[in-house]
Amino acid sequence: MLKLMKYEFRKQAFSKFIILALVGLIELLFFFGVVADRENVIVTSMMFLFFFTFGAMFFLAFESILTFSNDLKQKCSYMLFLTPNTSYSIVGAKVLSAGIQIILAGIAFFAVIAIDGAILIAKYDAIEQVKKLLLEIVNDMFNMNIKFSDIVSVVALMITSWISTITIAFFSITLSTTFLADKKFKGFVSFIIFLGLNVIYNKITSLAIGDVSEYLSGLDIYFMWQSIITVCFIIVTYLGTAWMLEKKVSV
Amino acid sequence: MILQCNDLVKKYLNKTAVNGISLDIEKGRIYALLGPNGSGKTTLMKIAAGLVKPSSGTITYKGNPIGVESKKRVAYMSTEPFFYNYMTVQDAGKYYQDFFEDFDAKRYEELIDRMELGMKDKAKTLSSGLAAKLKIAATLARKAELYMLDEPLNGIDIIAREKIITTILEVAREDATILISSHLVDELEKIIDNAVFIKNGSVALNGDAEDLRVGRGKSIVEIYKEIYA
Amino acid sequence: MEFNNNIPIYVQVIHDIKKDMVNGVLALGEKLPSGRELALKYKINPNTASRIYKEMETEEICYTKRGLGTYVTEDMSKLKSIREEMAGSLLDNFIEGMEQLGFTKEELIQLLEYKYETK
Repeated sequence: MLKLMKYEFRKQAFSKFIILALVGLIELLFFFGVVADRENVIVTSMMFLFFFTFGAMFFLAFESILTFSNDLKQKCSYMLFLTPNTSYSIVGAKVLSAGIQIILAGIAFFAVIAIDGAILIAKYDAIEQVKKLLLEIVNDMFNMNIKFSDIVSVVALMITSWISTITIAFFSITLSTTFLADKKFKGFVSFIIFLGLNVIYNKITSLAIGDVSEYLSGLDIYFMWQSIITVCFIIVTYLGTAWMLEKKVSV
Repeated sequence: MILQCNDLVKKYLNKTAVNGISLDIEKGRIYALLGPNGSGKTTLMKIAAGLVKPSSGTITYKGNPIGVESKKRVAYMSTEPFFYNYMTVQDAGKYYQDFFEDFDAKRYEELIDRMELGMKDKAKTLSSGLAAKLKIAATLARKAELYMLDEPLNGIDIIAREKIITTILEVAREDATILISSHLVDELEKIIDNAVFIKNGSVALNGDAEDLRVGRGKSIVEIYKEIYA
Repeated sequence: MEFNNNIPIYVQVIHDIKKDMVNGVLALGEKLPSGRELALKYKINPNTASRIYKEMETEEICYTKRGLGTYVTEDMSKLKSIREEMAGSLLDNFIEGMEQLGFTKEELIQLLEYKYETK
């Protein structure tokens, strides 16, 4: 499976360079703003960074899904499906490499934002006070202290729901390929199935653990439960995708 | 019996590609799968390679269903180019080496040389003829038990075809079996043991090439013309 | 080598090898290529190649030394009889062909002498 993952990374390597280059450019802008003391440049570059982070995360998910779709559609798929690997390994490698990419990207972006933030705080004392003020406001508003477990559970939920988006997409694409092979509207059907599965996911979540408003005092518990349900979804859609590929789908 | 098909059927929405093929492929022989485009040869090979799942019927490799174990020993070469765009000739070799234990890297280098390709050539910039040669080099550099070559001579110039036939003969060992599908019958006539004629998704004629020739007093090419006229 | 589609391949290859023996390209007792080498040389199926050697061994044109390979016979008289046999069939074909054109034996001989003089 490691070898499969290696090639999944290779397939998607080019876009990582682009992302890296773009972040580099934004950072250059930021540093220029700091050094030249141009507040609007700093603000603009930070905004770019935030939006770009979100954009990049979406893009990473999109790319993993697109790669999967292409692997089912194009002739390069032969390279993958002729190798002596079970579909479980093949799909597993895709999910794992996507997961690793998003975690690494998340850490990288977080690090960049944190470093930029630290630079700003070091440079402008005024911001330190703003930060303290903000935290006080937040604490008062929600009448709680932000615990470590809150952060952990939010991050866990973010990662698992991001991965589940990918596996649900894999499942949708595979399901529609099983019946429609290469028909033109297969993409549309895949999308409908994807939406449908997400609706089911939400329904199951609310049935199982209720609504978020019931958990205001212990949001971390809610997020933890939701992460667990999400993980179950990931496993089910992963197994379903692999099973269909193994038994039903012809490339 | 290295490959055994029993009443194999593959139906698509608007056509039946394979319509009840029963075939026994024996070890150590070179088979020609003959027939025009669309007759079902490619689908048959893809089923044996594990890329296409049959609608009904059975197919076994050495008695076992097609799967991970058979893929370790079966080397399939499709008609279409299939290497990833970002790969160079060298990358393609490394990929094969990573996934196929029977891949011989030295042999690959030899064949790349013989086909007049360069290790640094990018797969996506290769002309169709060179891309075809790359496919052959990668496939035949494996020491597989069963080789399935779909139209290996297509898009190859006449001089290079000789090289390819030589390369195919070089992998023909007692413990290796080769299936070649082609509509270039006369090029293959001398090297094959058996000729299997596929028409409209089923086997029209199957026999030892020499027996067919002597029995009917015709060359395989002439028999071909009779069957598909 | 160009192959005739109406005659079995192994027959044609044996004929070619016999020719090489008769005109000295292959010496008496010389080692013949292995089955695989033969297949590659003539671009034929390896099984056909082994069959070729089997047939030739039956005709006692060659023999196999276990573990070492296949060798041309060392029997000079065998070589002579191959030569005569091949010549005989060429002549048979020639005579039949010429008879079909209406040549008599005397006309044939005259024509042959003429041809050799002007060669």
